[in-house]
Amino acid sequence: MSEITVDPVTPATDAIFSCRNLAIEFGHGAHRRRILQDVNFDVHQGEFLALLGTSGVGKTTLLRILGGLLAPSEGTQIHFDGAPIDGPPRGVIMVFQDYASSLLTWRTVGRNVALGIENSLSKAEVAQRTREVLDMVGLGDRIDDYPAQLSGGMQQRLQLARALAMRPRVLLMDEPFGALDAMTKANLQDELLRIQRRTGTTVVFITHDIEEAVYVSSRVIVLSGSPGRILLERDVDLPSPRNQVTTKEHPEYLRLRHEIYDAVSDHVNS
Amino acid sequence: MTTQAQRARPLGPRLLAKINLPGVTFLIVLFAVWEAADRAGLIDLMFLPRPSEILSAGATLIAQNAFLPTVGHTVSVTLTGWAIASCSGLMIGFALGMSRRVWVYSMSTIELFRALPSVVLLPIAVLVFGFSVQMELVLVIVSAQWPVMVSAVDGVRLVPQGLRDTATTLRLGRLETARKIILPAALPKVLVGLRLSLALSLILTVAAEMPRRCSVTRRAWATRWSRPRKRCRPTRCSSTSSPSGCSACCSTPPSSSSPG
Repeated sequence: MSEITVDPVTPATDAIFSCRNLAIEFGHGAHRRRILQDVNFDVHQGEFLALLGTSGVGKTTLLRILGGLLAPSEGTQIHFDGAPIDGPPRGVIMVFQDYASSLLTWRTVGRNVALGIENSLSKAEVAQRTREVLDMVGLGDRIDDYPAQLSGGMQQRLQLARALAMRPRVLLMDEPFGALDAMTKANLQDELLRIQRRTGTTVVFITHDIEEAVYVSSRVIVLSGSPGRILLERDVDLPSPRNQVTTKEHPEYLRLRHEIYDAVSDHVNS
Repeated sequence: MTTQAQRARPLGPRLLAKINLPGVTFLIVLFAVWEAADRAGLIDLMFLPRPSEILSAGATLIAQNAFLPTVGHTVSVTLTGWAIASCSGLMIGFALGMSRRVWVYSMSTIELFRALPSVVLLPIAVLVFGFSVQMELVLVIVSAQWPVMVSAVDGVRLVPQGLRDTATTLRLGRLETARKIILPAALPKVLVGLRLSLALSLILTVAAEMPRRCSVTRRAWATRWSRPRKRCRPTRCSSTSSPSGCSACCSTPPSSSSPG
């Protein structure tokens, strides 16, 4: 739980992502509003970073900037692998909260997974990769079904499989389990952690759920205020693999949960 | 399992199974009631013949070989016009839907011309092309492409942002995004437009054929607009003794490619 301070000017060299003076505004004229300001952080290789904040604080905006879907304001220095970001960086895949509108309803499960790789890989490779990632998320027997035949949780697994098929270095996940019921959510958290351990993928994970953030991540960054800034940054030093029961009884888990809870409510109330 | 069983059955019974029996029965009963009511004197539709009279008149026309060629002409003009209108409507519609700039510059023009009632184009088309298949086709194409075009524009513009984001994050190219995401996602709306424009094509074909097929109007229009270079002119026709010879002559002018 060491306090991590980032130099606000020079980008870190060992970081996958490095953000300095990140700011963004929306709207025109009198309606122009600053959403994020002075956001400085790095994303390191192999870590599981949770971005936590109330809705409307700019979490999704921040993730879309990292994913190259949005351009930040001038003066922002944002680098991926040492190079400035313009457009979606290679090896960075986003997983969206709204799985229903991100899946191609006219394609089968298998062909949805193939979407990102079918142009660059041979047919046999695509088939082999598709099978591998579907097995990984537990959808191996649903390859010929259509998304409409899957439950919400399965559709989100499918979106995850489609991202994994690209063999990403970084997964940017925007409240991926926000629309799911508690039990499905717990299952998917554990599966995501298992997959992350197995593949070594770096994950940036957005959530508004403090417990989820502490449970899944190796580091939590809390965003707050308007415009949104980084309020708090904590390493999560909990034994791995995590367990829905024992981890959540761990003193460190309880302490972090308490600390973050206090910080967020103090900031909201002040 | 059910799909396999369906596949195993021959085509005939499968088509039969698709017929909406209650709906067809209702229609037949409706005609029977009409016929019975007319015969019993319960209703008196002065200008509307009984279903049985319509049927026998239809049978006579078919026997005289006068019905099917005409229907064939109407159907072929409708389908040709619809096909051409669909192609141009889709191409223009997709271009408008995908490029914001094209849309901004051309939408006012399109809305203006789209608001014109299609039938007012008929006199202009007749002036330019005369009573010809070209005239009928032009009228059908110009009018029937609007529903396709507008539905294609809407279909493309209303593709969910989630799908567009997916295409971006999976690094699909512009063409690949259009082919694999935008077009399939827009397809349901496009199909509605295609259906609407097929119905419109038929209406306009019939409207365009009316002045030509109806001999009185045909002669009136032809007298006014026929060009001197045409060998067979109504004035010359009217001087011939046999009226049947006249109509045969006028309905198949040598310069026309119309099959009927």
